[in-house]
Amino acid sequence: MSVKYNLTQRLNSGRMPVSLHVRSNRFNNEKTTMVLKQSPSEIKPPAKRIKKIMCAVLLFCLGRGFQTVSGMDPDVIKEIEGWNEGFGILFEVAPGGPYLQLRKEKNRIRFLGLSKADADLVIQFKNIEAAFMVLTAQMGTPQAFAEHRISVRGNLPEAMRLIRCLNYVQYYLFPAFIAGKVMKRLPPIPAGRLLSGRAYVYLFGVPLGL
Amino acid sequence: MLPAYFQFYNPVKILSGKKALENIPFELELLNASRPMIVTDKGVVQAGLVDIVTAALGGSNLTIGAVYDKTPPDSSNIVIGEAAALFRDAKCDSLIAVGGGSVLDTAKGVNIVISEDTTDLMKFIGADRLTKPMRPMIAVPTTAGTGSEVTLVAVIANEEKCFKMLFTSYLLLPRVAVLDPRMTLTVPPRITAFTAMDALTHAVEAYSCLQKNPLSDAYAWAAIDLVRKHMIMAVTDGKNEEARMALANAALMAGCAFSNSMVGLVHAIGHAVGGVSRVAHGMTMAILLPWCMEYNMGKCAPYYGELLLPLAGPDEFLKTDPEKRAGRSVAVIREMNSHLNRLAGMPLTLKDCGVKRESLPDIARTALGDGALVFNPEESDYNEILGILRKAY
Ligand SMILES: NC(=O)c1ccc[n+]([C@@H]2O[C@H](COP(=O)([O-])OP(=O)(O)OC[C@H]3O[C@@H](n4cnc5c(N)ncnc54)[C@H](O)[C@@H]3O)[C@@H](O)[C@H]2O)c1
Ligand SMILES: [Fe+2]
Repeated sequence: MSVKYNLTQRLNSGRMPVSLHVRSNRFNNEKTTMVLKQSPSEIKPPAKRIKKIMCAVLLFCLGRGFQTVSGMDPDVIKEIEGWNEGFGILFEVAPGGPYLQLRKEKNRIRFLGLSKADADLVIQFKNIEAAFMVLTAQMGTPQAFAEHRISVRGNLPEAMRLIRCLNYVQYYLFPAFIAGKVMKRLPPIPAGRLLSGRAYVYLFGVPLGL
Repeated sequence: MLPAYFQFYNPVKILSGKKALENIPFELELLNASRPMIVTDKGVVQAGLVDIVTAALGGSNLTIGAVYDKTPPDSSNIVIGEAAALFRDAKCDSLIAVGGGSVLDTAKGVNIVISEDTTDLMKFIGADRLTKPMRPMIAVPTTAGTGSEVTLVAVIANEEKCFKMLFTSYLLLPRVAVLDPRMTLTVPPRITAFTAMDALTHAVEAYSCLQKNPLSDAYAWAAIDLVRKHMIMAVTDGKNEEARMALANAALMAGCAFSNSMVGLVHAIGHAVGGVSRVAHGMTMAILLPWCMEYNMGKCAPYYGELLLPLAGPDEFLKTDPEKRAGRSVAVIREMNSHLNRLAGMPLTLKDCGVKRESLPDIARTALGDGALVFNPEESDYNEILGILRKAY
């Protein structure tokens, strides 16, 4: 491909004498076929395994964090009341994972693991970079929606509810100077609750799943 | 400022101006269709517009397979099932929607039901849920407002649950949009007024929401400029073809802008008002726009300030101190509203639209579930939305 492209470019530039055109044309054609025979022109882009593992870890933290916050923060508890018991949420990084599976059980969000499952609400990151940017709080959820980096399957009001919850969870997970940059406005969590909640999330919530 | 990233997509072929309708047979042939169903409503039929369209298709090989004219205001999940059944029975292969936003969105809904071969529209609510190629659809808007002829959005009222279902998918974009001067001459002054304010709202929101970008900005800007120059004329002299076409093009451009940069708070609350209290969409837009602009001022003042130029014209823009321009833009929109109120009786408060005070909390709760809220630059919670509603009441 690239050989051909160079050739047309050179032909178009018109700086070479015609006879040379013909020669370079033939030469380039030979080269193309040669290259094709030696190695198939197929290129497999990098698998990005490390980034996928990192995303899986980040999804794990988000899942565990959500689980803890959903039993602790009164505003989040109130939001979650709007979901039916058994309401399932799946985060998916396209294509092929990683995934994060959550479900509402006994008025709390349960972290069910990093495997794929059917869900009432599916939040799909269109590619691994999009997931990485959002999960590391380099980009806010609304911005990612606006830039078409995320797509949703499920009812919009439920998705809106999830976005509101995520704002809280992320504020417990990330310090204000990071969260503040990507959120339209920081959630109104009183300072004391934020500090103790954050300590609990870091010490017990994420590592132990409490 | 250039956004770090944006997408822009508008593949709709636009036919705009004199005898545009007569090109529909040719376009349908290109799309391999020969048996369209016309979707419309009673008001449009009474205005004689379906007859004009039928006549314009004359001399071609087309057969109009069926005409569905029972579209209600704001469309409805129930009539869509009915219209889809008619489409199937009459063995149609394409859609021509002749009407306002309600009709265009009904046709989009019918297309979903037919193309996805489903009976349950609810399954497809939300963003990017559609997967099957759609039947060719030609949109002939008869109001200058929604811009639905170039948007990837369909808004359809759910009659049982009293909320507006939102569908977005690139597949919902019509194939061709036809703006013909004959189509909007008969719109009554009041409807002309509030549909124009809907278009203006699309442009203002597109220019200030999260995914604004240079392309959507250009469309939004041009739309506002045309609204300023022609809206009052179209309201006072409905038969003025130039003013009518200017507004039709403005609505289309504003649609194109917001289909790409999305709308925000005004539409989130407006959809909720429409869903809960069944108020015409454009009216809620006109009333809510200035209040929501004030609410967004902290984040959007620079954009609103720039918009004073197309909103009020160069003299006024230059006369106004730069730091006062954003506030002046809001005032100009309020002046437009009062002018339309005097000329055409367009209501200025939610109360005058027949909204009940008791339903405000319900409206606020519904608005919290509207997807447009995501794209608004400023965060807003239940109490804040209720606050805006009370001010607009
Ligand atoms: N899909 C989108 O992108 C989008 C954007 C904004 C609004 N909407 C939706 O569009 C709907 C509103 O559409 P609308 O404002 O165009 O109003 P509409 O389609 O409900 O029409 C209003 C009235 O005007 C009459 N009418 C229309 N054209 C006429 C004409 N040429 N002459 C005489 N009478 C005429 C109709 O019969 C109807 O009674 C709402 O449901 C709204 O949610 C959709
Ligand atoms: Fe609108």
